[in-house]
Amino acid sequence: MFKNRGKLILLLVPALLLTGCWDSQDVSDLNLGAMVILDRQGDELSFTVEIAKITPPGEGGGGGGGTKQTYLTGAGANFAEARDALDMQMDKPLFLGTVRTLVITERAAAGDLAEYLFRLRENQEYRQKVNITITAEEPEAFEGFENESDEPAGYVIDDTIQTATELGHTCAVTTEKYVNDILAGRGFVVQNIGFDDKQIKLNGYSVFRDAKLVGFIPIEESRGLTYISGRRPVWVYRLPGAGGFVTAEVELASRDVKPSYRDGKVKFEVKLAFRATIQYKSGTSLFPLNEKNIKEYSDSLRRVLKSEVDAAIQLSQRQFRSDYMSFGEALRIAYPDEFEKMDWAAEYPKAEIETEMSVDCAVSDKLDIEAS
Amino acid sequence: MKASVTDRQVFFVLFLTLTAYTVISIPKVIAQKTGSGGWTTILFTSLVFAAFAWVIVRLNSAFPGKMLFDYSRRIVGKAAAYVLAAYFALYFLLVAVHLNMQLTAVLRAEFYPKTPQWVMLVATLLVIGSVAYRGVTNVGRFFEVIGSVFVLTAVATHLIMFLQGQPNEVLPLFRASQIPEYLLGTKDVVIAFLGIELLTVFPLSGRKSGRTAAAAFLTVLFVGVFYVVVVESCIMMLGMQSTKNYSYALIEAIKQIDNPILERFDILFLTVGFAALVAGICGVYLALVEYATRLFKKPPRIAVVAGAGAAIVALSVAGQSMKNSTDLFESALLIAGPVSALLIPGALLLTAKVRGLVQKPR
Repeated sequence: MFKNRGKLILLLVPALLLTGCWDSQDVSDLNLGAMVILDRQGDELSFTVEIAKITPPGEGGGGGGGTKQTYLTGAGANFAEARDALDMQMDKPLFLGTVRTLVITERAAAGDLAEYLFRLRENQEYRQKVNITITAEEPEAFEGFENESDEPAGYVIDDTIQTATELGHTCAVTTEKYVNDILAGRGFVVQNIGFDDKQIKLNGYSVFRDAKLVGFIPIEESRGLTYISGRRPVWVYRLPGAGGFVTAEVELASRDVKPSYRDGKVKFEVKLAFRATIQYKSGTSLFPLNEKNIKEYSDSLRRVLKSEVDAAIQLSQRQFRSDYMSFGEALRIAYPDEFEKMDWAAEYPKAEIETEMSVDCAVSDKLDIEAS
Repeated sequence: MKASVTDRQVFFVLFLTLTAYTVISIPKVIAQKTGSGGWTTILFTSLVFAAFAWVIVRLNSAFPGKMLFDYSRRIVGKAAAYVLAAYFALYFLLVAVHLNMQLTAVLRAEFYPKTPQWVMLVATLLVIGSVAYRGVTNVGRFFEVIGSVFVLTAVATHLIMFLQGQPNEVLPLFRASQIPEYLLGTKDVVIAFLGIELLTVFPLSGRKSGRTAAAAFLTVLFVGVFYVVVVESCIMMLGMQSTKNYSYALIEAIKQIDNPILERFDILFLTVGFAALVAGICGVYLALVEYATRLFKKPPRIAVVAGAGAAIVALSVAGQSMKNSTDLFESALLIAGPVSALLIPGALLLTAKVRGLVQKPR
């Protein structure tokens, strides 16, 4: 049997190739989703989907500035009905594997986020690394979005978050992390986007407690948050020093959160070490920088950093009462048995958190202070 | 020259058969049952099964070029040998059906939602049937090739997962208060180490048998370490709570990998991981065929291969139409597996020793 290998190959190859046939779809026969917006208006949920147009370069569209994307909206009493309503408008099947951004309005995020994320997790069509953002804008605002390259808004939002992450300005996490936080009963923050002069902008963070939206942290006040939660936060500071204003790039070098649990009281010691690189100063003269005023600058930088971090912690404990900076995780790891027995959500606002900052300040390698 | 397999082939046979399907589902089991200290459960269980892999190799080495059926005739007599062969044939049929059902379920859930499962079954059976038809030595070589690629790909993938995952999710690594749970958890990971009984169909040359036995022992320990790496990296990528919810946690965790070159990193499972899974099933199919050919001596081997394939397809299709068939199969395997992997080889070695049939390792 099968002495002729050609026959064997002829038998096996179609058998192997056949298995994908039922699932194969031509890309031109699909509506390629770029962004999905979830909204709630009273008792009604709606999905708005941005469908990217596949137009070869130089064809159609009438040049830059024209809207090339299609927007369809379906509404219903629940997610399933809203999706059905959307599907009824589709001339081709909707493909969600190309969706790069999920935008959830604050109205929908207030109470529907958990169910939506569970729905998303179950749907194998979606990229499981898809970006999620919250917005205070109306869904219609995204339909009017235009940019020079006619890119779908979903792509631009994804790229904006990606850029901010690379620059060290966000504490972005994956969708799966949100699901895990929800299941673990932890608080978390999600990026919030909006429009600034018709351009998409990272506005800050929406804060969640018990998977429900409880507040907002503007991006201008989010530095302290990124120092505690971000992977590689980097920010630039311009502070008085050396008879003018000195600008330095500040990067978090190390983070150490030490919990302790004694007599039913939870305490954390947070030690943050920063590396600051002085880049330039104001005024017409260059550097009269010396060890003394670098030390003074370093001290004032340390005070600013401490106030930012302390403010971020106070905000989470007093205003939002949500441990979105994951102090509970440090406590769980150090005191697993005690943590299991306590109601951490109730304990967190009462926890004592002490912070200590250190700044290693140096002048940029490009500059020679001695020469000044 | 008698057909036999090398130490390296023993390593890959054990490695691919043991990890075939379990590698996808074991993170969920550990997350649900033992939590972050689950690595102790895995390593402890691997130690027990490593000892029995050593037992099977010692048995095989004592009867060079022979498989369990052949030497059990000398140890316990002809009638008992046929009973054992029938038991092992039914057992491997059960395992083959279970693995095929799981394979098609994974493919349907994760990659091909619209493709009918029977099509996947038939396509898979055609491939593994043609490999199993070739016999023990060829399957050993097949395992060697697929296994090498699988190990290299798995090491690279899990290294990336360790770098991108959240270490706090797998901490604390050990809790003294959880020791009873760690020990109780062994019953839930037993299924992950079933597969060592496949060694009963791979004849050994009998040369350097001590080294081969040590290789089998260390291979099962290595499989234990591999499971630990898989479990820890999956939990780091998905989070402990999320991992509890995923039946195919490994595939979901691979989907989370952020790689600028390969956006859909899970394609690696569909290629390399899938090949390893097929190889694992292939080993089980071969074992079924080897025992069936001992039981049915008259029909040509191709007829036995085709018959076994038809039985697997028929039972798998029937199983797919049953409710809770996976639970049913796993419950049956939890009893039949340890009997095949631990009890029978252990009893045979003991009897052979008592009867003076086992020589000291060469």
